[in-house]
Amino acid sequence: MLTLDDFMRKAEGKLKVYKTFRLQADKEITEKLTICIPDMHLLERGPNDDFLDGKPEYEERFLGLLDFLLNLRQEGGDGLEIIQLGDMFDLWQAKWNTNMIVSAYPSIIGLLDKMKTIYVVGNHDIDLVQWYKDKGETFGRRWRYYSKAEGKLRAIYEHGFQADFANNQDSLSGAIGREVTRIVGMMEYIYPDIDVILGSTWDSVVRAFSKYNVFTPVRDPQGFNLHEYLKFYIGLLERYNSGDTLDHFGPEEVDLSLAVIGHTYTARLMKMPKNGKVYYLMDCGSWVNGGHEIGAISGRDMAIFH
Amino acid sequence: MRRLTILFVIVMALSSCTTLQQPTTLGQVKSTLNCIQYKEGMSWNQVSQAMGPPDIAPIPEPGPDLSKNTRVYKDKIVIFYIEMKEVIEEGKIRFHEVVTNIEVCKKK
Repeated sequence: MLTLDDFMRKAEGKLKVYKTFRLQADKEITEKLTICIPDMHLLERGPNDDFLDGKPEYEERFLGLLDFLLNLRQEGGDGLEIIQLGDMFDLWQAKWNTNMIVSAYPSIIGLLDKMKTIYVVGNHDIDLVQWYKDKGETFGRRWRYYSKAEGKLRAIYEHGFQADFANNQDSLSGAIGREVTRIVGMMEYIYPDIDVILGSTWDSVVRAFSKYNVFTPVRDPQGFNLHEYLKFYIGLLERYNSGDTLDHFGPEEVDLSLAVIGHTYTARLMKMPKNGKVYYLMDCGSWVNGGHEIGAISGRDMAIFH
Repeated sequence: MRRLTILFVIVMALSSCTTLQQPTTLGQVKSTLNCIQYKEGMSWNQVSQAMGPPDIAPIPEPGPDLSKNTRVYKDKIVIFYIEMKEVIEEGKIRFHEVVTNIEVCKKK
């Protein structure tokens, strides 16, 4: 298994640790070098979106990353695992579902498939598991994925919308959120940047409330949140560890410490001790709107790279 | 305010309709069509039986061979089958979409 230092060395300076997001877990998390690719939202902005900003160099940069990972895969074989964390396709806004996205980005789709990428479903491409639900066809998409070390599940990978009030597709609030996105999408015909303006306005409101914890100061007296989904994911990992889930894993198979997500477009890496254990949350950022981040885990070592 | 509320409800209802629309499958498309698959060397009779007489039969292109002809159908439906093909471009692996099959169809 390549270490993260080996991984950076092989990238010859093209990868840098994003901000200060690198840390060592208190136990082994993976037995493979695991690379996590967050949201891409292909064709969210029509036929020339180049990952939303209309910049062909972003597609070139992403292809450069895939070329590098493909070389590593060919050298290292199964010692490298690549996970796409969902929202690769933007089926809420792209015309003609996945069909024309493949036509616009054949090399991206082809290279990811060639590397045997594991695909987790996001809220914008959840239709992939719904079109042929009755036939059990999911196009290789999974709701979530796990990695093992020392014989136990140690990390869980999912998109992150599951923690999001406005985007959880199992809830009414999520269905309304989807409708709002569609309406904003229609408004883009009148004013193309409406989604960016509304999005940043909403983010500022959420950030202010989240930072100063206005809603729940009694429950969370420390006064600010490191990550808005931290509690959700620590709760999920604890439930798994105690066997309190509908998944088929028994508590003896599970010792989860890390949750890896995308969805928020804001890369972060943090740890939180709770009930005698240490939990970690890796938010891998995005490849949308100028984001160029990936998450990487090797053994105990984890980082977000730019 | 009332107008704004009505507008919001209309937009919501309209976009809900788009949500309810399911994507079209190839099976659904072909259920209303008679199609014939192109194969190199196939008999012309197969085509004319499936499609009927052509709409236009142009004169042959210049040359000594009167047997090299074209037949034109207007308003027919063409279905292209697409797959990905791995190619090498400037030493790098890339993928192109290529046509692997063609069907020409008319409405039943």
